Amino acid sequence: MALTVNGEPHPFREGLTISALMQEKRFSYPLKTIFVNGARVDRKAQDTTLLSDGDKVDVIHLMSGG
Amino acid sequence: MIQVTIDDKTLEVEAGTSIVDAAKSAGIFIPTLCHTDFLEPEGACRVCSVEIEQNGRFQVVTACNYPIRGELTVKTASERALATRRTVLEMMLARWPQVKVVRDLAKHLGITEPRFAHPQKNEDPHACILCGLCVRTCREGVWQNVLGFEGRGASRRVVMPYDGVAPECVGCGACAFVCPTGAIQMMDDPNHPADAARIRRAGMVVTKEMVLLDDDQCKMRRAGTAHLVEIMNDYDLLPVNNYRFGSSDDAHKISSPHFVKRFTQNIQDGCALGCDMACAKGSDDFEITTGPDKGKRVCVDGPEYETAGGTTNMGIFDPEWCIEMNYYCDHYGVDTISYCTLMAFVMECYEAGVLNKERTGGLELPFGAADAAMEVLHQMARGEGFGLVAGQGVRRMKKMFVADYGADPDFLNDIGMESKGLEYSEYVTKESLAQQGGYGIALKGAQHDEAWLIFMDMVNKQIPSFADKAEALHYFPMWRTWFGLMGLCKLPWNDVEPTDNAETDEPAKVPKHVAGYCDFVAGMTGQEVTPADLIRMSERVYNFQRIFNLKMGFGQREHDRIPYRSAGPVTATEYESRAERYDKQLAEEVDFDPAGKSTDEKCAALRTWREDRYEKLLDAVYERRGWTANGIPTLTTAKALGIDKMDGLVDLLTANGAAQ
Repeated sequence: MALTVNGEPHPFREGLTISALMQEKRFSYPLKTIFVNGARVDRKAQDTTLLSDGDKVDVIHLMSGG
Repeated sequence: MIQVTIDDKTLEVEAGTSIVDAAKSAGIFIPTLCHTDFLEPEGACRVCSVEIEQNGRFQVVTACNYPIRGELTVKTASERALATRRTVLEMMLARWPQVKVVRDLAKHLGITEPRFAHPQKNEDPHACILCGLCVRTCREGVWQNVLGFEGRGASRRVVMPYDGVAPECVGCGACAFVCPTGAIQMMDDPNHPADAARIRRAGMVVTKEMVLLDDDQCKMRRAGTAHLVEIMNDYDLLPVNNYRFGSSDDAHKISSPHFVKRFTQNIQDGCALGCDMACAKGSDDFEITTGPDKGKRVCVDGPEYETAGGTTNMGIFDPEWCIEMNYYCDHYGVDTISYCTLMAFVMECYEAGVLNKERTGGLELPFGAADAAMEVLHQMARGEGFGLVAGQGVRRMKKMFVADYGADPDFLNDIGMESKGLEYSEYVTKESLAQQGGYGIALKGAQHDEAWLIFMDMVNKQIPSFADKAEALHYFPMWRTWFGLMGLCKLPWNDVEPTDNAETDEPAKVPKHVAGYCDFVAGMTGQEVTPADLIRMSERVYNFQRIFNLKMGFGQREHDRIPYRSAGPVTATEYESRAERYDKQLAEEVDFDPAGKSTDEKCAALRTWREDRYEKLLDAVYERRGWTANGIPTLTTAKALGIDKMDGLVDLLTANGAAQ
């Protein structure tokens, strides 16, 4: 039971939302775009979008800063 | 949810929804004039008047700012509602008969001629109709607040304070952009650009994004770069104890809320006309507790992320101390990054026994020694005591400690975080090879402003191969150099990004903003340019700078070396603090079984592998840039860029083996 998050395995559990996954990964940076199996997930839907076992999640952090 | 009936449609809305928004969601049109999504509704023009029935009472209200709090029936086209709207429009038409937006709304309500004559009839088609959109946009959208109303009734006008020209106006043009009549026009720039309107259109893209998106993105206006403290801590990138570690359980003590509650300015920095980023942050009325200004209440410019990150790098987690250090660095003319990084080095030397109280003039300087660290800053400014030593920076201190105290040069070179003599800025780069290159190859020394690639490389895994990293270490330094060529700030490039940026081919480059910069150049000069042209401009300058470095004794491979602390764990403590990560890497990527090995053995194996990867990275970057294996631009590269005609350049390259 695992997801692939940015190319690395991450444990999957039933009921895992994208927002919860971001917390588990400590991906707290706000300027990021999330793709699940290649499809972009709208920011507003991240609290409610459930992940499935085997999903490939790409969390693209955009650069900012000095 | 609350039930609301609008005309013949019944729908449920959340409490607090305005009638305009509820109607919009039901596909019912209510005309508006002074209303826009990104400002608080004001109900100033009363064009959106509707009739409501609640608890058996009827009332005409403005739909834009009437929140639905209980069951409600709305009639958008009742006789009373239409009569109110018509009267409003008749009065406006009587005063401003030629203004298109007024004429269109009047026509929509079936008005051709008003019943009244207005004593101040104004036939100007671009007259100000006092809708107030400009005033509210300046205040709420741009956070500048230089426009306001003066007078009452028929003498009401939009003015800047005292009816003058406010120097605080940043010229962003947002007021002209939202003005529905064209009453506000931007004056042509005294620099006489070829196409001022094109530059303004490009600038307005970012102005709008700041207004609409910044609160959800980088919060540059509310928190500024200080918001990065907690984020860097989450990603194990916040330097702690001279870059030994990337996070600390104490980081919350110095996270951005501690600074945000002090920030009072949040205004434009005044560096670029038209910018509405409001990046300037000040800590006002701050009481100084040490040094020559002890007891004074002062305004401190900042702090920025680097100053806070530098504070944690000394093992200090006190925001008040950070602000005072920020103040004195500014006061003394010392760069906060260099001060923090050299003090972190001093503290590690103290803990390692290279320094002691005798050598520091009685100061105890382990990590976290806030009072003593502040005293060193004062001594640096006074040119006395240990400040005379520390103030010379990491590179010279390394030599002095070896010569004077017999310190181990290898250890000091590993932990002395400088490159080309410049102290590192405040990011832990151990897990991002590309960023190690970003620091090491940077022309000015260890600064991240040529390339900040940690997310692309370490988190997103977007540039896995050496060639990918080399491409990033070509493009981004060239691109960021271009800001320097133009005298532009890079923050509007990627500290706010278009909502659809992720859907573009190369999100990291923010292609829409790059296109905007092309518009800027074309609008200024009258010559069309492509994104590739901008990079070419930088390549010419960047390569010349590298050759200049060569001439001055800093432009070869050996000068791009980095202290090992920036590439991996120097000490056993560091290794063990992230043992799971490093053991996994040894097993999976280095082909070294960590089982049963001592920490020193594992450290050594990891180091051999990581140092070899850094050398391979240099090879790849030099090749991509058209440089020799020794990191020198070849004559062919210089010719291709048209910089080979400089006096002495051919001789210099020939003498350094780059004549090919």
